[in-house]
Amino acid sequence: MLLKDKVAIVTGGAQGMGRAISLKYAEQGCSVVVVDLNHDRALATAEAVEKTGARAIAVKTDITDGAAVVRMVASAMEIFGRIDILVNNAGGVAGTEGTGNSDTITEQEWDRVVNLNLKGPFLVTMAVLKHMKQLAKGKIIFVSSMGAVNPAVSVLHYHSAKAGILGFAKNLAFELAPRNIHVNTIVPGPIETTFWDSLMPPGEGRDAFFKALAKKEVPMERMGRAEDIAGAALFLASGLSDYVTGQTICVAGGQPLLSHGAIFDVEGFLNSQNS
Amino acid sequence: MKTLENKVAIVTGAASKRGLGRAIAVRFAQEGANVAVLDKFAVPKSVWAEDEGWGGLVDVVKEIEAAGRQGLALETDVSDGAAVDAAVAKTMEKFGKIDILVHGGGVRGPMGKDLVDLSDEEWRSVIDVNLTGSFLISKAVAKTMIPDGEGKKIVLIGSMGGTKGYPGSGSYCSSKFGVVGLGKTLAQELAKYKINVNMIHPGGFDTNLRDDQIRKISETKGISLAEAIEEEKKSGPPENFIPFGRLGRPEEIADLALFLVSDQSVYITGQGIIIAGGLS
Repeated sequence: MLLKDKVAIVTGGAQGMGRAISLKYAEQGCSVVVVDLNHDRALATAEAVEKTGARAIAVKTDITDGAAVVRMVASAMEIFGRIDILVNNAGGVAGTEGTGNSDTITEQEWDRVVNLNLKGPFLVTMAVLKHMKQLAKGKIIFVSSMGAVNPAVSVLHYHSAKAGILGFAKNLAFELAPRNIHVNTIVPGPIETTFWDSLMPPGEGRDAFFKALAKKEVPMERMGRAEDIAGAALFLASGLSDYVTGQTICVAGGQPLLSHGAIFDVEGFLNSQNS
Repeated sequence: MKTLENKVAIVTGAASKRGLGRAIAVRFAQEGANVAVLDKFAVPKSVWAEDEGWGGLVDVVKEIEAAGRQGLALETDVSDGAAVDAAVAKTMEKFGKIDILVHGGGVRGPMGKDLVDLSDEEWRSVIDVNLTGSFLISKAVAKTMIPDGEGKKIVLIGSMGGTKGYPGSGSYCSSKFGVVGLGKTLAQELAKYKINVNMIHPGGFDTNLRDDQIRKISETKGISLAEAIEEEKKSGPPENFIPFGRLGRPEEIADLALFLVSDQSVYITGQGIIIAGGLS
């Protein structure tokens, strides 16, 4: 088992990629702290983790609230005594009115989405680092977005925050390498998860969208699955990556390779579905 | 079940005792794969006295067999298309298929020589092996993979020198940047067959490529290898420049290669991963 006796904090662990990562870690012998605002689903993930024989707790936490984050990390330390792995997966655009393009974005929305996607990971990382520095080792994983460098839909606040994650992770990796703390970033391409729910409800229309998007944009001609992200997250959390830090791994079926950039007309497609 | 149970791998540049090819081949065998090992030199020369007696490809095959798998030693110059085709044919004959290619064979070429001073021959000698060799072996192996591509994997060993320029190493950097272009194009072309193509860019490793540097110092200064080793060490221990404060081990490249040929990375293609202890 690659993560025997390790302890991981997975933010946004209730569903989607965070749930897949939690379960993948559990299969490898890792205890998991499932952090999410959606406590019912976080409990369900923790239960699923325990079914594999690993230990888990669910801690309801708003990661944009520094005091709440410190309390969450204190609970994790109290129960498990150490934190080896942090996956900064929580984020998204849920609740955004419109897509967040220059016609629709507001200052309030900018603050809310940037707080969730950039300040949140900052707060959790700082709280966890205190303990990793004492252990003199650790694995920190960030989740950015293909849209930070190659957008397929205009969500200005979200993509700006995710670009911020790339810079934050690079600087942190540089700073922490001498202290044996690894910092790497996963850049997911088009992955079928609940992330899309606020942009487009599940159903036949969305399935058609995914199919069309994958055919046009993804060389491997399929959407990614949460498990695909979990595979990369396992590598970056395990001893297999002990000489790898400051890196960005795109898990995108080859998508970032396209020389023309993203040309799929997402908004046009959405409008045609709505009319 | 082991990660690579029932898989067949080809690993090039696998004969050196302290090279990454050997570490990868042995690791794959330990994970359950049968492995064909290629190298231009069945028993490469080493500058290190303690490497005396190392049997090269034959010894790597013994290590593969010690792991309970089958090996195949093929002395092959990857810059020679006919030789590459023959080696791939022999691998197919023995094992019936090829699931994995890790192409690590390469040369360091001239060092400390600016491009304006480089001869045509020096330039070509590096491009031929590192770039044309990568093309030839990838092409030959990919052809065998395409009919039943799903889950098959190609990993090309690039270099930090394939991500930025290093003065005095123009031919090497150019060849490794070329490998990146090859890998990224091949990844797109093979994606429809569900074959993954990725690259590993090592930095901060103490492999046999360091031998080339030491040999070069010995030749240019007209001193013995032992003196050249001392001379090379004067530039300061490499770990001074590495954020992790230590050199990487070939086994750590094998770890990354294992990830890239495993089921955990099926949606990752066209990527280059730097493994360099924090260098970037």
